Amino acid sequence: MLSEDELISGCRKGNRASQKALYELYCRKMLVVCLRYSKTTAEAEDILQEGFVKVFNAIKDFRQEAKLETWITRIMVNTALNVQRRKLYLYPMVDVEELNLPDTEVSVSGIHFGQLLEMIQTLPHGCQIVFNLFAIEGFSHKEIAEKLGISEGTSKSQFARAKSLMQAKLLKESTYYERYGEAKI
Amino acid sequence: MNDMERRKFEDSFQDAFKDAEVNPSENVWTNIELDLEKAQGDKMKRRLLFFQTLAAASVVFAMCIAGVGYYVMNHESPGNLARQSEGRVYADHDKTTTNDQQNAQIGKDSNDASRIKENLADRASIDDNSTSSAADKSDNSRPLNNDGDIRHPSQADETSADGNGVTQQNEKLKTTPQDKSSLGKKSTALIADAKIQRANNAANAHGLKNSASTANVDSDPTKMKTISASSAAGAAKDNGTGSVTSRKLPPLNQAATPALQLPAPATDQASSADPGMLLLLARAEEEKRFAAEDKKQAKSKSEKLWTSVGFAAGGFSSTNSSVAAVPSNTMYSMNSSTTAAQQSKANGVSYSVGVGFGTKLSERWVLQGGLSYLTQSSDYTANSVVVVDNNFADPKAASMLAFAPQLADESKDTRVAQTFPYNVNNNVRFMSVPLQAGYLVVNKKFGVQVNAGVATDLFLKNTVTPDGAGLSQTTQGRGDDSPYRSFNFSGLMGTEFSYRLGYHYRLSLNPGLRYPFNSVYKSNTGIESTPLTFDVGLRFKYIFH
Repeated sequence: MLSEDELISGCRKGNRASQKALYELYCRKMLVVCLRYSKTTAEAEDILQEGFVKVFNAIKDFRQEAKLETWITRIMVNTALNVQRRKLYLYPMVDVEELNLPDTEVSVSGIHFGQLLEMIQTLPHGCQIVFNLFAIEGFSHKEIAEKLGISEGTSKSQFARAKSLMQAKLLKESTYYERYGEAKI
Repeated sequence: MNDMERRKFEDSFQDAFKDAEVNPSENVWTNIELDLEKAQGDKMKRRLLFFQTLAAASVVFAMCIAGVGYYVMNHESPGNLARQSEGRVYADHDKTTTNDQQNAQIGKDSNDASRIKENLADRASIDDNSTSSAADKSDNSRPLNNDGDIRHPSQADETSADGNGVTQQNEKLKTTPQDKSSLGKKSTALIADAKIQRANNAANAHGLKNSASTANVDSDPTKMKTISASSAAGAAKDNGTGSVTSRKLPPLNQAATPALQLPAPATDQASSADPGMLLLLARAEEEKRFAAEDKKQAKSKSEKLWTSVGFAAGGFSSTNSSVAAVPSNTMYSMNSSTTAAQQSKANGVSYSVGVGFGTKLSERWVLQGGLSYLTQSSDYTANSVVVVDNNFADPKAASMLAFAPQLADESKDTRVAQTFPYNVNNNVRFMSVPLQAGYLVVNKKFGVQVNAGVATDLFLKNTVTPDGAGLSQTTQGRGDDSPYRSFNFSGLMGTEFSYRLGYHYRLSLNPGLRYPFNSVYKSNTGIESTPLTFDVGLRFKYIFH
C-alpha cells in the first residue's frame, strides 16, 4: 500500500497506477458528496468523474497545506456547484417563506445515511445546495451567498425552508416507525 | 429552537455523513482514464501540430528566401552584363567619338545580347581603326596597339592622336568574373575580331585604313550597319572633330583577373608576325586557364558524395490505434483486449542512431540512404498478470506478448489474475533502412533541403518491463511468436537544415515525420496501430570531393 505522499508524487508524474490507487482510496467517500448535491446516482457519477479529472490535472499545484481528502472534497463540491449553477440559472433562488417548524426536537441519530441522502435529494434545487453547504460543509451564509451569487438573506431563507422540509420528513419517518414499530435502518 | 439545538441538528447531519461511503460503478474509472488519455492525446497532438507548423513555416520561409534569391540572381546577372557591356560600349564610344548617329546606334543595341556581341566586335574595329589611323599619322616607331576586347586598366596604352594634339587615354575593357561565364558566347565575336585585326594589319601595311570595314562585312554581314558607323567614327576622329573623353567604369567592373593583351611585336617585325594569330593563341591560353579555374572552383563547391553519422530523438503518437472486438466474453479475452488497447494506444518516446550516405543526382536533387537503429518506448497501466501452469512464483506482466493468440498454448493452463494497477514499459526495437530523395532549396554554406522517401523497418525485438518487484522482464524477438510484423514499410518526410563547417564537413538538423504504411502489429492480432513519429535528428556529414 502506497503512502499518501507516494500517491501524490506518482499522480504528479502522471503515473496511471498511482492515479488509480488515489481514485480507489477516495472514490466512495466522494461519491457520497456528489450524491448530496445531485438528484440521481448517474448525475453524481458524472460529477465524480469530472471532479477526479480535475484532481489529477490540478494535483501538481496541491501544496499539501490542507489534508488531501479535504482538498479533493473541495474540488468535488466546487464541481458539483458548477453543475448545479447551470440549473440555478434556470431556476433562480429567491427568498422563501419560512414554514412553521415544530417545536419538538427531531433527531437524525440512528437513521442510515442512505435515507438521509434520499431526503436531501428530494429537496428543491436551491434548498438542497444551501442545506449541504451550511449544514454539512459548514460554510457561513455570507460565504454561501458569495459562492452562489445570491444575497445572504436568500441563503438564510433557503436554508430555513430546507431545514423545515427535512424536519417534516424526519418527523414523518419517526411517526411511521412509531406506528408500525419497525426498527430504524 | 434555540441556537444550540440548531447547531446540534447540523452536527448530527455532519456525523451521519462522516464515514459514509457508496461504491461507484466500474465505468467511472474507465471514463476518467479515457478523459485523461484524451487530454494526453490532445497535448501530444498540440505538440505535433506545433512542430508540424514549425517545420512547414521553416520550409515556406526557406522557399521564400530561395525564391527571392533566384529572382535577384536572375534579374541581376543579365542586367549586369548588359550594363557592363553598355558601359564598355559607351566608354569606347566616348573615347572615339560623340557622333550622334553612332551614339543612337549603340544605345539601341544595349539591351540586346546579340547586338552587344556585335558592339564588342565593332569596338575592336573602332579601336583598330583609330589606332591604326593614329599610328599612321603620328609615329610609325610606336608599337602597333592591336588591343583586344579584354584588357587590364594598368596595361592601357596611351596613343598619341593626330595633329590636333589630342592625347587619348584608352580605357580598355576588363574581365570580371561575370565576363568569364560569357567568354564562350564571345568567342564568335573574338574570331570576327581576329579577322578584323588581320585585315587591319594588312591595311596598315598597305596604307588602306578603311579596308577593315570591308573585311568585317565579309566576315559577318549582319554587322554592316554598326561597322559603317564605326568607320564614320574613325573618320570623325581622324578629322579631329570628335571630342575625346574618358569615363571610369564603376567598381563592379574592375578587373579581377589579369586581362589579355596582344603581344606587342617590334616595329620591324610587324609585317612578318601575324598579330591576329598571336591574339588567338593568347586567348586560347586564357580560355584554358579560365576553364581550369572554373573546374577547380566547381570541384571545390561540389558535394557529390557524402557519408553521415547521427542520432535523433522525438515522440510517437498512437491515437489512431484500434482493437478488434473480442468475441469471447471470458476474463482472459477481456483482459487481453484491454491490455492490447492500452499497449497499442500508448504514446511514447523514440530514439534512433544511424549512419547514412548521400549522393547528388543533379544540381538540386539528392538521393540519400542509410541504416539506423530505432527504439520506441511507451508506458501503459495493467491491472492483471498472466499465470502459466499455476506458476504463481513467476507471473507475467499483462502484455500483448502474454495474450498474443499465436502464443496460446493449449497444453498449458494459462490464467489471468487481477492485481493492483501497475505500470508496464514496452520497448520496441527496429533496424531501419531509409531511402529518401531530397530537393536542395538552398544550396549555399547554409543549406535547406526537403526530403521524402520510404524506410524498410526490420523488427528486432520488444521488451516488456513491468514496474513491480514480483514481475520479471519479458523479451520477444521477431518471428511467428511475436505480435509485431517482421518487416514493415514507413513513409518518411522531413526537412534538413545544414551548415558547412569546412571543406569536408557539414552539420545538419533534421526534423522529420515517420508513418508506417501498415499496422506494426500482425493482422491476426486484431490490432491496428500506425504510430506517427516526429523526431529531430542531428547529423554530422563528411563530404567526399
